[in-house]
Amino acid sequence: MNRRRVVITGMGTVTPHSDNVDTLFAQLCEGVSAVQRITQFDPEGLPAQIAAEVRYEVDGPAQVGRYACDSRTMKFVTAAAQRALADAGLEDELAPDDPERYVRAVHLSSGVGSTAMEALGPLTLGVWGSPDSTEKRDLVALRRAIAAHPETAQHVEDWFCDFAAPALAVMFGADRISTAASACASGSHALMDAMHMIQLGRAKRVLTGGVCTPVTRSMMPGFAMLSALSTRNEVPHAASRPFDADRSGFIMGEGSSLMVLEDLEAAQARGARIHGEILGAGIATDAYRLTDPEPTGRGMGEAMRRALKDAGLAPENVDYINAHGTSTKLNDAAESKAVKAAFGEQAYSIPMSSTKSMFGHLIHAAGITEAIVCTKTIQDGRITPTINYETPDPDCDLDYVPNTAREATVKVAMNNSFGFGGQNVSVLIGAYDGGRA
Amino acid sequence: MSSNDIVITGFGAVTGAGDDEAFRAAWLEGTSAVRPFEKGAEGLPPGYGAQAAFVHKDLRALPGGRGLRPGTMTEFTFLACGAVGRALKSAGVDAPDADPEEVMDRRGVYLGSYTNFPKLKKHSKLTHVMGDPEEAHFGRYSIADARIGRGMKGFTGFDFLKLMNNMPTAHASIQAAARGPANTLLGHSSVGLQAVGKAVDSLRLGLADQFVAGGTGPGTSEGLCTFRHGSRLLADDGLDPATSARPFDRGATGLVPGDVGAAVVVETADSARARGARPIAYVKAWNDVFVPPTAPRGGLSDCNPLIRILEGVIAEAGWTPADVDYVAASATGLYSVDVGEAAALSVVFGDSLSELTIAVHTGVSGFGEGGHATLGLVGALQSMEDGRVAPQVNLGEPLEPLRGMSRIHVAVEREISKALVIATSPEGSLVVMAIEKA
Repeated sequence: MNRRRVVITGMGTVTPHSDNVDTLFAQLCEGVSAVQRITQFDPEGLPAQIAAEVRYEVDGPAQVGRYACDSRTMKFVTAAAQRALADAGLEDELAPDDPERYVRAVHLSSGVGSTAMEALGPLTLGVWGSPDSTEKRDLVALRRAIAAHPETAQHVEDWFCDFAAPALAVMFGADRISTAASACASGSHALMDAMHMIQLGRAKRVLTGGVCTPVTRSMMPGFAMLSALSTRNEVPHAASRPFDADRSGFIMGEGSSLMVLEDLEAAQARGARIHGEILGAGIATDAYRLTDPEPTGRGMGEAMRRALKDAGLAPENVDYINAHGTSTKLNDAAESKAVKAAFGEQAYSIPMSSTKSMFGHLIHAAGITEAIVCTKTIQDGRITPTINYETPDPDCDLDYVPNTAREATVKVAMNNSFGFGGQNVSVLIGAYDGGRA
Repeated sequence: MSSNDIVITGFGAVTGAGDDEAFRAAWLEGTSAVRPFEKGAEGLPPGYGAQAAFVHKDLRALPGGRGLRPGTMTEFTFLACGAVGRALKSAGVDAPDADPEEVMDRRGVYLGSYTNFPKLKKHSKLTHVMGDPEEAHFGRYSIADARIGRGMKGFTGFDFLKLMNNMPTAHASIQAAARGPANTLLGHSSVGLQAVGKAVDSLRLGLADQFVAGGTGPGTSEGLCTFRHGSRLLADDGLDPATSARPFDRGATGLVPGDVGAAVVVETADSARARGARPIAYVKAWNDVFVPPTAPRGGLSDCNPLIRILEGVIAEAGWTPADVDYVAASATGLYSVDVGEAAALSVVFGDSLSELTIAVHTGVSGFGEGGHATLGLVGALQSMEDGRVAPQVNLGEPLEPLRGMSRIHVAVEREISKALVIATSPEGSLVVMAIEKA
């Protein structure tokens, strides 16, 4: 198959650091951590009381078509879309009968909604009485109360996040939508799927990315129960420490990032500014356990090998790896092992950093945000550091760009994303110079 | 079969009527699986549905089922894995983890699902316990953050892991020993067919040789029943359950929930040939389109995009509308969606509507959410295999655009060669797929 080339023409983001791509990248290069004590609620008493939250007022649409943008999820994703479309020069609304619509698509990765279950609060009090009541909580009575108050049920249904892709389709004038999830790999997975849609000719322009708002009263303790979160509450800025021997878990983050991908010829035809090129991608599944990565890093390594093969590149062509680098014991060791398996000796000479050391783990938005970082790395010639790297771990013996940004010529960057459930995705992003990087 | 062909070599389902074989028998007999909700589902609207009696013992008996643990599963993952196991068995993949590494590396899983919904009682209790007693005294609700820890008692980490919306695929990839691509498509009733279509695309791109693909929808689950009711999409209370699910019928009052997991094994012709698998059908073409609905979870606002992709898929398959002999309609039982589908069929097939077999399974299975359209695909494959078409259960007086449609009151012998499968959805995503008997 004669593959179409796929380029990046728009980037937009709402992250804990900033809602501006350049400011985000500048702060990452400065080694600024966005991790602080949680402010959305009082986390006192919880095991993990810190997170990378979006603490500023997000300026975005209040309503898109029939979709209200009042939830945190909808606010973030529509604001990020607004910025990505403006960056791509595609913010103008299309006429209903404009055939341009037929070549546009939205492919989104989204997690569960933010605080929807709390809408049930008044009903639970009405049915079950005082929160301190020792009476048996009657489920049937609660169901009947919900049935009698469908407006409450509808609000709770926001948990499903099923408005996000349709709302973006309305903003973009897209003719097709899809929403997909592969946990922490979702954002990169969306990028890969969007690339495939263009390569197959199903679309010429795809708005793609992810959104996640997991810093909630129930999800924070829930993830802590999985022993996944760092509990270094007393030193928030130092809590996320990927590849460091004293790492103890990841830091939850929130946000949304989106890219506009285009068929190269279609982008050139409209004179679009091209940020970079998606050179290839690989996916492999562990088929091992739900929570733990396969300990040899087989699936991770295979995803990287498949990405290289897909792009027609050799290990020595890769100048930088943005690691999944969650700061958990298992992931970082397995990823380091996998990079060595995929790149051989070359692994030791490729700088590999984890931006999760600064903005935590954005879950469904992680991979796409890190893909934006990779693109900026190529454009600006600076590699963002892994902060809080103090004590080397014998299981993690690669070049993690410790603590300080580095000047470098980067023509090809690999972005790794690995998810709960064993889905591993690697994406290769290249400089666009009119030919293959 | 040429090397470029994409073939379906197996299918499976778990429904309120039983597995795919039991579902077929019920459909041919014209028997609805919709019954009053049993004990444990009191208070759930609309009071009836097609509940699947599928338990872990059944799952363990299927290919790859022994490695799955019920403690990590939800209704979504259970139905998904049941369908995947049935499909693997049907395709002759009896021991997926015993296959050579290179086969496992080239096997993928794509499933359509909906966000795993929290267990109502457990999470409502958390919400309740977190309530500020002082505020509650005045009949208002606000959260006392200091009580979060108390509310979390009784939860384990797995209660939250289970909520992650990629869990159907995560489980199924372990079950199917699938180390290739894996993805969970999220949304309402079109995502199962969309997952099959994306698998076809991925085969064409060379990302894998074989996929298990389909959808899952525990329509009778507490969360979905409650919240579909909230969106005013469910059928009326107090109807006769057996006749309540009325696809394309003027008397339909809304969705009748049904549990459905449905999946197919789809692979390259070379893969099927190499392992001696029998192709059941070729996937000739597919496409999808988004139509902004009349409300965020509402009706189909415009049938023209569906007409466009129906005509496009027929053309891409190399057919004309007159060549099509079977349409597996989505026919959800929700008027605001079905009337658009009916209108599109009327426009595309015109006078040949009276010759066309329009299959509607909703009267038997209820509305199976993410599994609904994939079950329509399974039904089409069953007709290709057994040379019979099943009756249009509970379709009394058709919607106006379908007034001239061919009526099927009892199962009849009919050779089915070229079929279209349609998926509609309250969030506005529509899918059409063309398959041809091998």
